[in-house]
Amino acid sequence: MDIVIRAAVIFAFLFALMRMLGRRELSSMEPFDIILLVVIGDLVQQGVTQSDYSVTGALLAVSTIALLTVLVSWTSLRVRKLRPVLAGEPIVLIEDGEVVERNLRRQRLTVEEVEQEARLEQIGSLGEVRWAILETNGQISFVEKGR
Amino acid sequence: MSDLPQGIDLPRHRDFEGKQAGQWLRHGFLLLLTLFIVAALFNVFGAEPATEEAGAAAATLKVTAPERVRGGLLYQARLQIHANEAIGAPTLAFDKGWIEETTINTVQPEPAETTTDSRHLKIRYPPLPPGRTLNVYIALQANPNDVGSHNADVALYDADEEIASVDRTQVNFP
Repeated sequence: MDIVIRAAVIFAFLFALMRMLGRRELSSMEPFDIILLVVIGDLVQQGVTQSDYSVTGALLAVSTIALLTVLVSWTSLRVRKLRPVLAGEPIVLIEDGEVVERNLRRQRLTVEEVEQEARLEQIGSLGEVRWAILETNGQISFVEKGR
Repeated sequence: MSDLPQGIDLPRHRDFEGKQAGQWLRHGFLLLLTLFIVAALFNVFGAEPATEEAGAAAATLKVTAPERVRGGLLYQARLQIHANEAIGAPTLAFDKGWIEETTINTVQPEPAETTTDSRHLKIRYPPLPPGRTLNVYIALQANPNDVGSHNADVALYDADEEIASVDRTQVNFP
């Protein structure tokens, strides 16, 4: 029983952590971030399974996390009011070529980072952007002027 | 017709209207994380050892061990008996908190006799002359399933006669 509780507690903590940290961490996966992810995975595994090396223990932990993942997405789908809390909401970063500085600060993003993302979308200048929106998955979508 | 992308509500997604609570929640969560880490630095979750002492005319007993441990943690307890008078059968009696759901890896020096009753583990050593000090080192490991607060008293006996007792509580974190 304890392994199910531990897995649920770790899931809830990681879910809250990912929701609260903001999307900056999701959108910029530098090599260091990938290493951090692996390290966090290792630390979490020890906390969940501890000294249990059994297949049953592993199955229980994975099943608990899988079921909770489904439960979160099902709740998000069925309960519209909870959707912003569970999945987050898009954030407008640029409107009509003008950067919304306050929203950049909120997400700890710099103009340079937004410019980099724009270049990756073959957009040379933020002045050409009608809308730039930070999506819930951490990516920035651009809508160019005149489109 | 507005050229606003579908699904975007400007007051909400640009100006954060009605989302102030979420912002405060986020700051609160980050503050909580900081407090959690600071608390850990101040030994709230163990496992810094604490020293407690109990004395009597015949002997003093000093116990140095962590009062807070986390599941799976390896730790050490050091017990020091200083005999002011001769002790014929120096015996240490450990309360349940020391034994249940805890692995005792080693006890050094090895006791002459080990017994248990419904509540205690008792280890007896050879006679201790006046002025001598006996240091006992115990290597332990907390069972990850054991969570909560336990009595972890230690008493020093001369055979069946109690000389001194240290009242301790050990908290096991998950």
